[in-house]
Amino acid sequence: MSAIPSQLTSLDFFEIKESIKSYLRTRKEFTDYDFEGSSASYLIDILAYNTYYTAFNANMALNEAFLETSTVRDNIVRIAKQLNYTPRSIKAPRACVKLIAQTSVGLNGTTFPEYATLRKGDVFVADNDFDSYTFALTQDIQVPVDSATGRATFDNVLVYQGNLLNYNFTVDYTKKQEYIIPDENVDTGLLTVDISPTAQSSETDTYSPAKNVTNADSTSRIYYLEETDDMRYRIIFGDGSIGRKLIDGEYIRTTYVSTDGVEANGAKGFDFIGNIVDSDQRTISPNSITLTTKDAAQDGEDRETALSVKFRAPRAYATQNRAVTENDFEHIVSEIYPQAASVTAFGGEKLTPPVYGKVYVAIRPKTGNKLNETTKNKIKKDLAKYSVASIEPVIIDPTSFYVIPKSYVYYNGNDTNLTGSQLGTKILRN
Amino acid sequence: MPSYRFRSEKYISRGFKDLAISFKDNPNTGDFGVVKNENAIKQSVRNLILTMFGERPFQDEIGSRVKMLLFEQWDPFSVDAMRSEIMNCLSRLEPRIKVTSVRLRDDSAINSVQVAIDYNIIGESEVQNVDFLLEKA
Repeated sequence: MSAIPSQLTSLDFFEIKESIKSYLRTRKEFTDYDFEGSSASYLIDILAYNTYYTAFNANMALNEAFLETSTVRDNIVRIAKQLNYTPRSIKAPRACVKLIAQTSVGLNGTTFPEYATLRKGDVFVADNDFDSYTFALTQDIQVPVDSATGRATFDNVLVYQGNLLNYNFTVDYTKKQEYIIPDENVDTGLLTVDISPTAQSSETDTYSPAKNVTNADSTSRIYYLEETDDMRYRIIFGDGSIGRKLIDGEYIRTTYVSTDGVEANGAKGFDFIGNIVDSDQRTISPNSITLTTKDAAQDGEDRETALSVKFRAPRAYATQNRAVTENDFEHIVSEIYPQAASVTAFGGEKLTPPVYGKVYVAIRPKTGNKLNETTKNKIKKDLAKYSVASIEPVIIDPTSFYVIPKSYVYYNGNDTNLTGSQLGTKILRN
Repeated sequence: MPSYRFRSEKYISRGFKDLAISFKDNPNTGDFGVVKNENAIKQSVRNLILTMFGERPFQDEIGSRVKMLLFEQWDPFSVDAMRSEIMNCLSRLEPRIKVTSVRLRDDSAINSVQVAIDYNIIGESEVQNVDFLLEKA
């Protein structure tokens, strides 16, 4: 009789325990392993538990090593990283407002100030059906003051839901450094990275995000982003060949919007909580500011889910950052415009008569049926970076078909006192 | 579903051989200490009574409430509850014996309870006895 345990792949405690007992049955030293009170049984429990634990751990660890079977977000993101895929961050809803500030006569006592500046930072509060939210302005806006009326008009001011926050690092090559933004709700699209020679210096160099290594040289002011543990983003700078290498002692200033994402969509009724100063550096009183909401908060998105990363990472890798096939167009459009509910792309040669040199992309947004021209132009412009030189992408509206069912209801008149029309009303209501 | 099962029927009138729970080695051979026959059963009885529910991995039903009952007010009700618990535990988990009596004596001076259990090994007429101390610790 072989004394080798047979259940090597078992992940069940009792099967493992039985396997150890089976082995002991081939020996004659001990006989009490079948009685639960025996010391042998206690020892077998420990052995079985240890085996079970190790087997479970090995199983779990191996599952987490592959994109298809991993379940922990951090592991999924880590595997996706090998495919050069950075999960989409949470996206701040944006709103458009118009502000008119009435300035007072300048310090000279005769004319109005030359200009007025709307300072960046948290500038508005608005609410939707769920809660009240802060909206931030990412850059100062300066407008001229009307010399006749003294009014400064800030039109089409784009504000983003969230708080405008800063986090700074000093480059120090004497230790291993990681530049991780300590916030999981960062909208990476609104992240700005400025580098100064020292912490005290006012001279700054703004770095831009890079997605690949093409066109990057030793002087490119670029940074790469990747998601790291706990849904935080890590900023990576060049190594001196691909992107400029930072010098020891340089100061990194990051400014970002920490947002509530999709929850804040629909917020309107803006109240001003910011700061407008005139050219004489006098703060304009909130009573002198009138506010009009042009567009309520919209386009906020949750961060990409782990399931979506599992689905998209291999497909993004397949497109190789190039829009060549129809599938590439569909995937890249859904990347650059995450509000798309569905995307279909086809080559112009399939039309009658054929239109060569164009790719048609039909997008159905998550809200509404059609995109406005501004959004279409933005998508087209973003798509141009990926498409083959002579191919022109054309964004078209999808054709929606609405099905209106007509129902004929048969009923037993003996079982109800309702008339046909009353029943019809009830059916429609339910 | 637990795959373990009692096989006591097969072992009636056979010798029992278990590891000594003290895990002391034999000074001559260096092997584990071994307990045999009625001593193996005695050790098993003690083990079961001193094991609390949930102590054994994945086997919540093995053990007894006796250790928890030690902290109850010492009165006839708790004595009775402890006695029943011991009898139930042994009838459920130790098929080699039949308990005939359980005697409990509170020894509050040393903060403990004296337990004496009389039982018959199935197939034998001689009454066996196990005594041990349950300490409130």
